[in-house]
Amino acid sequence: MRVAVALSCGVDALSGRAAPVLSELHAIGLARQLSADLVGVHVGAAMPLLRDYAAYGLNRIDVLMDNAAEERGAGLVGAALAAWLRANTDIRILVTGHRACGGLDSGLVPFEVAHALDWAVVSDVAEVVGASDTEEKSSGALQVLQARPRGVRRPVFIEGACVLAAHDRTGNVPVRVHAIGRAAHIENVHLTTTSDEGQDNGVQGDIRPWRARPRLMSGTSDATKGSGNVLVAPSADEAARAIMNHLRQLGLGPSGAASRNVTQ
Amino acid sequence: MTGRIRRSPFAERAARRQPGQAGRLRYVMGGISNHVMDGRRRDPRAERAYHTVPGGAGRRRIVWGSARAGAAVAVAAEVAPRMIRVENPAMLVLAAPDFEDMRLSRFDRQIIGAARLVADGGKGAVGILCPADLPEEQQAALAQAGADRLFFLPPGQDNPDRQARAVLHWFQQSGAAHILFPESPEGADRARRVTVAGGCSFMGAIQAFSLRAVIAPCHAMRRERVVQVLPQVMTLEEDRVAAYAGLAHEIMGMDYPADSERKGPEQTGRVRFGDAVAGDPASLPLGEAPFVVSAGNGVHDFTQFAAMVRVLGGTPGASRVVCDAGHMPRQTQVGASGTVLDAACYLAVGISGAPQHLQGIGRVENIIAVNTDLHAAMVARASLAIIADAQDVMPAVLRLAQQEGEQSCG
Repeated sequence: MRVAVALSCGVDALSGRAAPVLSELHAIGLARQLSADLVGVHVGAAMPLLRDYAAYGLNRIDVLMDNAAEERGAGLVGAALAAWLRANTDIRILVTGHRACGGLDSGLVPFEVAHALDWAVVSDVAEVVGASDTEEKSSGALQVLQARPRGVRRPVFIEGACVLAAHDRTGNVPVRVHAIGRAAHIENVHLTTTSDEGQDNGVQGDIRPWRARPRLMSGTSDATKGSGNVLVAPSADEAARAIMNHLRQLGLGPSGAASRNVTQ
Repeated sequence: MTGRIRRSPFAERAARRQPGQAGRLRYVMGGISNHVMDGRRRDPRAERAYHTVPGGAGRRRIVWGSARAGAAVAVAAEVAPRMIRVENPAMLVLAAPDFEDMRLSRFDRQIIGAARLVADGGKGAVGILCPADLPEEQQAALAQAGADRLFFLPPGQDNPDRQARAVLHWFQQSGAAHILFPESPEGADRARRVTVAGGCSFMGAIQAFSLRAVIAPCHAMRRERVVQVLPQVMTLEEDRVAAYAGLAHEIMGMDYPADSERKGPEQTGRVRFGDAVAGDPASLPLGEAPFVVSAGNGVHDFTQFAAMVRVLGGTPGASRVVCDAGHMPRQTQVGASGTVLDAACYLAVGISGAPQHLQGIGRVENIIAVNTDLHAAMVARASLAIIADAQDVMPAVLRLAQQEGEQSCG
């Protein structure tokens, strides 16, 4: 089973220099859990940064030189990837990052690819639980864990071909081996996509330097104040009972969250 | 003789006479004898309201004096709670809140507030996409939050494609101009599915929202994109738009899904969600943990502390002093130079609460503090504070938690 990893060649948020995107490294980690036969795919011009990505365990990277997608229109990247996946019918799973880091960063690409190919798509994937290693595609049932806030994990069962989008914070980064990056085979692939294939759903707008926008006060008034239930010099048992009662009201404690399934 | 009511000073004076202490008579001059007073101060407004009676032609009169013609309460009852009705909207704006646990969260209210903002700008109505099994009181909360119409989604939370199709169906059928989602994990996923399925214009993770422009970061948060014409599908970050705080709106219409959609749990979905499982608290990253138990300088026995954390089902944390001393690993440090928590509850054992530490727990709602100092900052911030030595309290908590754990297992 071959698994493709979409690479966006992002920039570092602090310095603005080309750097691997963390969630794409998580994506390579996910792909390595799925299969040993990995291929990276990048839409745009070939960059030396691709060797950095390859060092995390990609033997081959295809660079899709699509002249239309070079402006990095959101819809066009998805269309180019879909066209490449159509040409490579042995690939049934595409793993992507959470969102690009250096383009329009809309996070639409995995959904666009899935829509164009009529594949399933799952976002915020933290871990692969079980993949059927059988070659036949119809029985390919895949179980992954989706990361939800506060450490909750939700199992997702997927049938057939799919696009998995890695979570941006949770995941494992594979070991980086410089020699693999040097030896990786980076190949230019020319695709001919019709220009109207990709729907351009990004409203372009003006691009300006970013500045911090105001937020509402996030702390609710009672959270910052504290309701002020103070027990002064209680006996140890009294204090313990007060703590346990308080925890029980919140649904925590020894009989609480640890053993309980949290649906959210 | 005119028919006018005349004051009778002697009678008024007699009405104000009250027996005081030691059998002496007092005159209560300010207050009215049959009016409830709290005894310390006059309340001129209450007195005035008490004397206000409905007069002819709907005008209110104030009748001073001992004779009170009518009940002033009736006047107050005439003012019914007003609601805003949007009868013929010029446009429709949809909002699709998450309804986590079937409850309207703060974030959900902000999304509805943003939709209200757009709708009010174009004399339009706000439609809410909500699950069919939403409880009654939450529908009332929706009216308070500024909803005009409800569109119910068919059940089937475990199939994201089907949910997105239902949302898109309502979006297209209602002819709404925009649809807003929260940029929460669920909302972000749903918005993007709807966008690609419907071929809509899209802008995600909006940080500044107004009728004139929406602004979202791009290029790795080094640039921002300003769009003057509002896109069809938008997702907003939390705390960027204020929730609607005006008069409640009346919910004028409810639309239910067609029967064919409501029934068919056809197993065509290639993606199926299972039941969510809470992570193992001992191995969770601190930033994700829902319940953190943290040790400070007041803790000396760290073996006991670790046992207590394990029994309580929490994730261990520590203050900087403890990490510096090497009693706890550096990745457990909470605060400005450590981890900023997103927990629901924080148990601070022997932590006084330096400002740098309090920064790390800014978002935590429930804090329990165990500290010897009554005037510590952590005690002021806590919802339950125990003024005692942490070393004395820990064994008692450990014992009690072990007992409870055995009871719940057995």
